[in-house]
Amino acid sequence: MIGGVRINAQAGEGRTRFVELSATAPLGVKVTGPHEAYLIGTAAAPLDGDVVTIDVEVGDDAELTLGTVAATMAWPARGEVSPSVMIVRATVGEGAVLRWLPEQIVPVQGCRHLLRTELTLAATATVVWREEIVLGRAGERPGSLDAEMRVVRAGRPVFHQRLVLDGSEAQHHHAPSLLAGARAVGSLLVAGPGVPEHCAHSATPELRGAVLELEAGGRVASATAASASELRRWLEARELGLTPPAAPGPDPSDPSAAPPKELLPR
Amino acid sequence: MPSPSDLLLLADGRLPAGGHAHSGGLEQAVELGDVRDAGSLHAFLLGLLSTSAETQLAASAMAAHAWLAGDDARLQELDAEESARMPSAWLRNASRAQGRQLLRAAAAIWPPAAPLVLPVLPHGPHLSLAQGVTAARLELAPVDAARLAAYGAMTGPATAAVRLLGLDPFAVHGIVAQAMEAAEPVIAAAAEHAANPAWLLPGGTAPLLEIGAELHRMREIRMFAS
Repeated sequence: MIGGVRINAQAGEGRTRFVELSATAPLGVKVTGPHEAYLIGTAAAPLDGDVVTIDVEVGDDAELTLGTVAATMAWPARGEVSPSVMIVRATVGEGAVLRWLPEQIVPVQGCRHLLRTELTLAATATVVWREEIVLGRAGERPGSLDAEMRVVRAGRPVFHQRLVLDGSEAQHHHAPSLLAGARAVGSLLVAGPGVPEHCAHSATPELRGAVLELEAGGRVASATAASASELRRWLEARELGLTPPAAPGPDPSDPSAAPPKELLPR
Repeated sequence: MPSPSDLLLLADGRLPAGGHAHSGGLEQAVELGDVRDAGSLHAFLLGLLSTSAETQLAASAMAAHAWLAGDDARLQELDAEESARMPSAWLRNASRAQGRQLLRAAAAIWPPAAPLVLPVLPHGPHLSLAQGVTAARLELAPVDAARLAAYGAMTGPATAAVRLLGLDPFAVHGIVAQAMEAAEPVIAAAAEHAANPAWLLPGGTAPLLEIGAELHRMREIRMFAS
């Protein structure tokens, strides 16, 4: 299956104007607020061999929050030789804000999944970008995953990381320098003018995390955790001070706050 | 007059370039209980080889190539690319401190050939770039620069493990020998791609190395600077 989503969001009067908003299976897209849209899985995907592309453009001074209604499960496909490929490309213009707050990615045992994320920021763009990976479903080891992300601002590299899970019996990624047996790993990148400073770290058995200050500006909250929920709770608390006054909502630092999917119209 | 023995001098842990003050993240891994014995040390090193050490040895080979080509712009790009792959400010500080020290040591050991500072990188280059430039300055090849960086990335944590855990030095050196054997294909690939544009620098991330560096910085008592 080859499909995906194209979104072109421009600044409008009081709400974001979607110049383009199109989707083909396995994804759908729905506008859920003045500056917000959700991606919806319309098929069990990606399966090995699928290619899914998500293209997002946020024009100058526009604002967009994107979520997904459920975790992305990367599935194996019997007899398929190619991995599943997901390409996420986002361009954020001057003074624009993009929040990418999807649910987790779960490489199911036996799958081969390739994720490529390219983020191109204008000099005064703001971005909040969450990526969480859960190492397989409960009681199984993860499939093989190769997730690479590159962020460039005004031509200069800001952040570049590549996480590889080999999916093997040996579970190389459990090395003490990599994940040391964690069940979930994730990061929250926050970069842009006027982003408040934020310092935090944790070294409990359930969660190891730290806020890292990037040389080219911005910060990344990075953590490994015993569970997806522990990881989410810690990363959400790292979003403090980022909720714009125009979009009041539940306090992201409050773990009892309603999850975003409940804000969706039924 | 260049000498093939220069590579041995550069790689020697006794080179007065400050390397002994750094554990390459091992001290924090010991503190967290993740590295406890020879087996977990071996896994720690192999984890680095597919992530941060791969980036470092590739950067070293590319820096050697850029220096030989007189390409200052590419050195600057490489420095920025390596920083983008090293989100922990504490790790970047440690890398640049070691880079400056290596340039200073090389300038004193091999006058007047070696540069004391790289004008294109006034804040001090990352360690891997200093290794690449110094190797190239001594007429060593990019493959030697990659091997030098790999050897430093493996022996730093390994010798720290002997001091921190009291491991058997013979067993630890056996592990280093195995790790360097595992590093050979990575070194060969780095040499083969030494002419690549800087943005193609490998970007494998070692999450607990980056997080651990920040946890290490918070500690009141440390034997190693990083």
